[in-house]
Amino acid sequence: MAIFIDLLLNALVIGVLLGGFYAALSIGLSITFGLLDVVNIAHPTMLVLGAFIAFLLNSTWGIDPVLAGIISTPFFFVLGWLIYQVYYNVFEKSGAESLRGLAFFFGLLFIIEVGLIIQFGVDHRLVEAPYIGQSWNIVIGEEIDVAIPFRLLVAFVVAAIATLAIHAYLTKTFFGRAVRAVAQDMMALRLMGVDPIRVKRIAFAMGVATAGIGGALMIIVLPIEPSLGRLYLGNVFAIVVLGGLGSISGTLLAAVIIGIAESIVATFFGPSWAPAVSFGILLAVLAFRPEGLFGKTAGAH
Amino acid sequence: MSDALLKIDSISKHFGGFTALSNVTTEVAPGERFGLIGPNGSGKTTMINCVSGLLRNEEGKIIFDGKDVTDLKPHKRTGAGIARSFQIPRPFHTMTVIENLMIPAEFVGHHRGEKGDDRAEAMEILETMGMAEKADDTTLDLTQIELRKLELARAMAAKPKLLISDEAMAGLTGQEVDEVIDILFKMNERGITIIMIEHIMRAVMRFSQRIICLDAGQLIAEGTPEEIVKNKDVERAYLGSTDG
Amino acid sequence: MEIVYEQNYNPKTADFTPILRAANAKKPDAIYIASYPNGSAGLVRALAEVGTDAKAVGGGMVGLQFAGLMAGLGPMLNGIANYDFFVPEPTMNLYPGASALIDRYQSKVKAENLKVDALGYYLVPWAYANLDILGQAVEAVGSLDQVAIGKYIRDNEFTSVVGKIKFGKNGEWERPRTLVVQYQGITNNDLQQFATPGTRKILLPADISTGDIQSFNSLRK
Repeated sequence: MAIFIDLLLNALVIGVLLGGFYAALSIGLSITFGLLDVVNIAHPTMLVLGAFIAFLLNSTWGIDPVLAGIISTPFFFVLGWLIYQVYYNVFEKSGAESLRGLAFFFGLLFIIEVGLIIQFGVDHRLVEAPYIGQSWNIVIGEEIDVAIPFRLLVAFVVAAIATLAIHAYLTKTFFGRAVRAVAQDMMALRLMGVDPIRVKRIAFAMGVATAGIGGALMIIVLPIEPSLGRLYLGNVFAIVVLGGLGSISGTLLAAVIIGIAESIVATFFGPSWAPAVSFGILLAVLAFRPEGLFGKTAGAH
Repeated sequence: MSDALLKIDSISKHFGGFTALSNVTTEVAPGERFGLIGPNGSGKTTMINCVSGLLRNEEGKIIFDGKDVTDLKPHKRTGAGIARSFQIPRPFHTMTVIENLMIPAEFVGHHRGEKGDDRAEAMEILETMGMAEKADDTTLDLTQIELRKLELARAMAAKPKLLISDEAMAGLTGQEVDEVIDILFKMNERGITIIMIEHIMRAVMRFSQRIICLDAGQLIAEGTPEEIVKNKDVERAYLGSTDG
Repeated sequence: MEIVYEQNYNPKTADFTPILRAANAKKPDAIYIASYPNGSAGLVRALAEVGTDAKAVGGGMVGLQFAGLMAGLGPMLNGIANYDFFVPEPTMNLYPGASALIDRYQSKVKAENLKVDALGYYLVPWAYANLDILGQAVEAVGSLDQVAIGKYIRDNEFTSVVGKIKFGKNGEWERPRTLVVQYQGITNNDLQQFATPGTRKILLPADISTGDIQSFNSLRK
């Protein structure tokens, strides 16, 4: 019994922390795809780019990976700004965004990936930081102790702060409100004194900017290599859809739910099933709530 | 009338070979209640789309508040003081009623460099509409009449000089139509110029001081409600050609 | 031997601590891991974070032989026993040209800033030997007749940078030459320590062994 409680407690704690990490990977997509309707399938690969930048700063100057992520975030903001500019002028303006826009981001995915291979090679990379490989052991009772790996704790705390900050920005500021409105009705927004293209450009840049800090967390949690993004593509989309398109807090909660589910399944039922759980939960939820956990129904539109 | 708020100066708009607006000229005076009528497909919506900037007229000019706005983007025109409500309510459905009003209030305030309590202003607008208690509801819970009021409230929140009300009353009951007309009168009393596009003749006749009628993209009549009612061209436009 | 826990993991697994905890709960004496690089690194970190009472850990963990992962994981590798192909232990220098080959490779990588494994122990000698044997066979046969070359390779013993090679009936080496090494004495994340003897003691094959297996936890900390 003690062993069961020990495993359960640890699985829950790890699940919550893992969820925070997943949220960090998904939050940018929650903005670009969830709020702006831009199917940025290159997002996970941008995260890998962020991870490699963190690796470069860490291995060259010994900069802490979290700090490296904060440093590279403005760079990703500018990158996102430029990408949207191209995307808007070439695809969105002419209404050709659905399929050709998807191809655009698919191409971007490969360009980034190949660029990383040329620059860094195909080997796995890790970063060094004092908190990696260490854990905080909390002894609760005989045979029951909870080990909290610091690398997951760091990822969780940073992800939670970033997610809550973005959530607050989108709900409390006038610009944030316009971001939430822009995908729903660009024309109506235009007639309210808002330039929807500018709103989308800045919001898209924000979404891409999360790849700076998110990528840093990625390399803190696991070893990275250029094609890693593709592995996480399905998961991040599943989390964004599960949370409900357009809901940042929903994304965070969905990520935590997936994290806990994966961790419980890995502990008690066998790890090979764990990644299937996210899609299982997604299907089950969508069957009952097509708009996701926290999505609002589209009404008449 | 050199001091008109809105001057529409011989504008034309074509869609391919189809002429939607042909050389239309008219003026709206500050504080005026202006009716725009015409059968379906007569060019009413095209004309106000040109005024609000969603469409660009190929020929002619639009002068608003003394400035040529012909080449201005829609959001800049809203900033300059042209607001518009939609025929089919298009609220931001993931937001509350008050949030729907805050967007234009804040952006137009920002655009004009005004500092003010946008939330208090938005609440005040909701109060005049009798919707204050709905402020924190999501728009999904609103009734049809409330959605229409929200459209007007949102346009008002942009602090306009000119409000274009695009068929705000279609599908409403007689009592509800009166309610909306009262709201528009109240706005007009505050000095806001109003262009009303309406199919419900009773409403547009009661509300407007001056009316123009479009047919097939051309301005066919202009005058007081009394004059318009008696106008043969208007009658023909609505009832179809009577002389064979 | 009784197997108390046997599970597969998915390549998408981001954190391996739940898996290790579940395995630890069965109180195993040894943990055999067959993993690809992501899983290898994830499990090594999980072993550092959660620990284990198993006496032997490792086996077929791909990736721990790469310079990048070795340097990145550093002291977390201590105690793990794993397969390898070539390590800079003194007994490996018996092979003619082996250390010269490694020196040449490492200085070329450094000089030209090549984006490949910085140390090159893992695959370079074998890849070299591969072509070396083919070259020797072609020269001995004196033609490019594939059947004759194949017969020559099957029938003769070769000497190359990985030692004396003779192929058995099944096409594998007559005497297996895959190493089992145990990581030990790793103190930091400096890559150069893996270029010197001692961090990866050879346990098997016995004739070139440079150390005896020690319990996992005795080599930690």
